[in-house]
Amino acid sequence: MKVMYLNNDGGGFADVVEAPQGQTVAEFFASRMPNRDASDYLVRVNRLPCSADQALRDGDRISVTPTKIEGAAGK
Amino acid sequence: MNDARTRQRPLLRLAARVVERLSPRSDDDPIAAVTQMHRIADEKARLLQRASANGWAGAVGDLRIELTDRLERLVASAKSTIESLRRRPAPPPRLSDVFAELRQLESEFDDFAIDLKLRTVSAVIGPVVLEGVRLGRFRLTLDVGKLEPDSHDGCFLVDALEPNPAAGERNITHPHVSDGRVCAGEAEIPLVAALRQGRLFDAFALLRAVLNHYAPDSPYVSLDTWGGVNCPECGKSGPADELTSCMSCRREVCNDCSSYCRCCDTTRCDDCLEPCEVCRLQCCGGCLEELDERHVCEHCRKACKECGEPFATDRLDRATGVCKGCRLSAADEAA
Repeated sequence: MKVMYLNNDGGGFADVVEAPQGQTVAEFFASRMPNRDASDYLVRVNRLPCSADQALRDGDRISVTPTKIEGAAGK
Repeated sequence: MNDARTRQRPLLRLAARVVERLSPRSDDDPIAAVTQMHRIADEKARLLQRASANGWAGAVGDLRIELTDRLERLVASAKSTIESLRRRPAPPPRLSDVFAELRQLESEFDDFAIDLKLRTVSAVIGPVVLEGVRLGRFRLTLDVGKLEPDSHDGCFLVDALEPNPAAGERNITHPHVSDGRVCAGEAEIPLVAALRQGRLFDAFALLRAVLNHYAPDSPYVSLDTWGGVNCPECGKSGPADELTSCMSCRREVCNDCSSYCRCCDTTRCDDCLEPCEVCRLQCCGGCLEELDERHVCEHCRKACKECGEPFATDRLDRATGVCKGCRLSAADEAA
């Protein structure tokens, strides 16, 4: 199946990606963000809060945004 | 049903503004520009052919120069178009997507508000507490009129609602906010990408992530010195670099609690100064001396011109500079 994946970590990535049929949100996160703790991210499916075991469906929109980002002081 | 439509209308109008701002404008359409350049060069080429065919030598010379110039411009325009196409692969956001973003913002952020006159959308985050320092709530305001496809400069304003600015720096209300502008740091690139694609919720969530985190290596003011340091004399808090060191007790005190010795001009805290009992000016302990059970400063001490002993100036005869004892002795001798 194909899902729209919006990753706001690092460079900001937005594209349609392939995912195995029935893959859960937790599995998708683990495959796309290895070695990252999901609790440090705001994850939304189709702009709604979701559970870790929610199964993704074809055409879903999943966004991942860090909840803590290092700011700076001027440019 | 009508109520829902009435509530949604302002969101739709603002969403339309966002789409308008993020859509390429016709005057900066790179393909239109290169097409125009090509048309002009083509016209000059046909004129050159015609001039050559008719043997108009003078016109041929002029047209060769003009065509060369036009072709150079066409090449430059084509290069610029290629860069623009590479830089801007995504189409502008769809109205329905931006509308959904606004709905998501409304449902997940506090105090969501839009102002159609000012073309702004705002939401509140917090209260923010970093390393034990309470910074209060912040209102994030997106000025849709300043949205640009490739930049977020100036389009976000961050207002502290319960400001606790850094000591002596009223414009710094957060380690990463100065004059209402947040320095996004590592969020910079995803923030620009989110705004370019009309993902307003993501943009707000990214800024919230910056404001909810402290990067100790890159703040405007470090949280270690956020509240400044307390003056040991009056207890008021202020920036550490505005304290002065007392040359007597070595304590660091604020400007209100420090002064200087009128004799030696060195900085002293108020506790380490006392008035000379002759001139009443504030002096340090080093410049005061006890004479006749009074503390007298250097300027108010003089030696008697007869016996050479030190006296307070008010104990010497103004005209002769002689002490009372010497004057009495002289009077006795004279008698």
